[in-house]
Amino acid sequence: MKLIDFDFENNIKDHQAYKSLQYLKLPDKQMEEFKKFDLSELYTTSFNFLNNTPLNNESMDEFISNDFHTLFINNAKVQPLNDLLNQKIKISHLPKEKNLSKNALFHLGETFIELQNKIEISKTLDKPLLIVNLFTSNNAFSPASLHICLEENTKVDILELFISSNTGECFLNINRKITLKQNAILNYSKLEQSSKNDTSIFNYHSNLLKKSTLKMVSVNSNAKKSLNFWDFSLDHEDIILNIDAIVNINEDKKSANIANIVHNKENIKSEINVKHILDDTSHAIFEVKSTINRDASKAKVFQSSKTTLLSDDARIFAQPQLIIQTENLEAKHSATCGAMNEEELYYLISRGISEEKAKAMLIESIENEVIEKIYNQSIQKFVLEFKGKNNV
Amino acid sequence: MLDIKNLHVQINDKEILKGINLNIQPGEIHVLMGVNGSGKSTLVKTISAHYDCVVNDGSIKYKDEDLLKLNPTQRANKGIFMSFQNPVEIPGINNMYFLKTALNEKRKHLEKEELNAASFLKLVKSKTSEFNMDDAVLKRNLNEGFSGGEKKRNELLQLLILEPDLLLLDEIDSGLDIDAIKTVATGINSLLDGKRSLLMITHYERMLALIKPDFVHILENGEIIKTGDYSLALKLGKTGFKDIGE
Repeated sequence: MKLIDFDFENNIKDHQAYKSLQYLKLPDKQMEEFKKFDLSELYTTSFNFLNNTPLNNESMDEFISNDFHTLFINNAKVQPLNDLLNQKIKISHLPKEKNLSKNALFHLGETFIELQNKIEISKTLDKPLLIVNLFTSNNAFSPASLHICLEENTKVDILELFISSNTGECFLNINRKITLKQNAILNYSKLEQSSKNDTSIFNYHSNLLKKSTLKMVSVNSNAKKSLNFWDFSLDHEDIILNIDAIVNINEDKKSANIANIVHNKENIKSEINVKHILDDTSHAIFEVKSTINRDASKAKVFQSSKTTLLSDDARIFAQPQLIIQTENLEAKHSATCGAMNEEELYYLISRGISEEKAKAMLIESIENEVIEKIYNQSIQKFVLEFKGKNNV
Repeated sequence: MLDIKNLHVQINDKEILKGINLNIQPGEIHVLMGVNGSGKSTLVKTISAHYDCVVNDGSIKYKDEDLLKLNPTQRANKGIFMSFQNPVEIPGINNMYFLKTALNEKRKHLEKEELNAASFLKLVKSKTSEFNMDDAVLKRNLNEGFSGGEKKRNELLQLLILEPDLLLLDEIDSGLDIDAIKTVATGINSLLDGKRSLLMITHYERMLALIKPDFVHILENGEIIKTGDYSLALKLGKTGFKDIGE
């Protein structure tokens, strides 16, 4: 079935969601030429609409480790393994909640989901949580939704792994809502391994209460097209929001990090840093808008895009925007772009390291700088080993 | 070992070296001295094929091979090592991983078996303990957050691991306290076995007292204006560079 053939008008009960879809502004031709990131072909491609992928024990065993509590989320169903976790984690499958995200792609995914998965964590965990999402079917449109909720004063480290192994062309539309109650701290890392023709869209939306902290690290996608959409309205005081991401793409791959962050109360800190390494004819977008409203005094707002271009044909479109309506704040944005650092390269090759190897080391060093932002050492180690094994 | 004839080098369209002639035999220790901007660093950078240095004329033969035809990697693997005045910081590259990679690239060039992690660690620890160096730097990223002295000691460690044939040291003693200078000098002297050669830039008598040069060359305005032995350096220490060319 093609998305373009779906009868949205008669199948969407949520009027707001329908209106969002009606006004979904996919890049038109003029914009496309400028930004060169076109999603419209997704609507004319035939996909199998899939909400569930069967799991076998073999595929699960690979991810079981003493360093983590492991959960499997299989598009529709969360399958916990460890009964002890039930005392701290409640997993439920509920009718969809009303969602205030302004991101039309978020609503697109919700349209095709009947029950939403919800993980509620009531106590600090002794080990990090590894949430594994496996997608194995060919030519599937896989919408997936998860609401992660931390209770007051809870501290949790989560690594969410998305692995798509297929020989066709899949479209993953992943929605993640994050609720942090007062004083909760979530260190959330995302690691993705896609098949080369996949399109993956990650839509993040949040409800962060007073004095909560959300630190997110997103590591690479090797999908043909990947998009992270961060939609955060910060409506309580003393929130900390950090987003770090690394994009390392080649060939004709495309990647976008789009963020809409709104400060509505005082003493909020938001920071988003994305590093890009672009080779061949790859293309990346960094479009981040931070709005600091009048009541959001004492804000700290930072945006940074750093790009290393490894070829003449790689492209970056970087547009950091600050919309400031208060006087009492600290704000900074930057977008830098250039070739590989010549001094660093020379240092390595002057020690007898071949230029090819030296460049690979420097690329790895840029990635590692982001991976080192992952707070939990077990998660850091897992990500480094996974990348080494799978050349993500 | 090294034979430089009529070398002219420019950086950014400005001629810095204006006809350098220098011959270094195996086992010899040479020192370059001169005021700032005289061309000392440019000379050692040119020998190691730094990207800033453009050779306009002249020749450099290294072990009877035309050095100007070799790229920096090849020169390093054939035994040339230049320590940097201000080593660059590279966050995200672990110092130990970098050293191991550099050593194994050289071993591969020499058709020797690469060292595994355990063997390499044993080698490094033997060097750091022999010369009283803190091996905590191995766990850190390459030069990241290192003090000036730590950076220089890291350069020394690389020297000791890679065991080059021609050592080019650009002010390796700058920023070091007395004890650290002794450590560096001891390390360098341990490599000088009568076959290895050294070309060193320094302003400090203390370093010269610990590594006694065979030849001292004074550079002025891109040319060697005087060559002598250790006594020339001592004279410089008393009179300065003024009138030294007379």
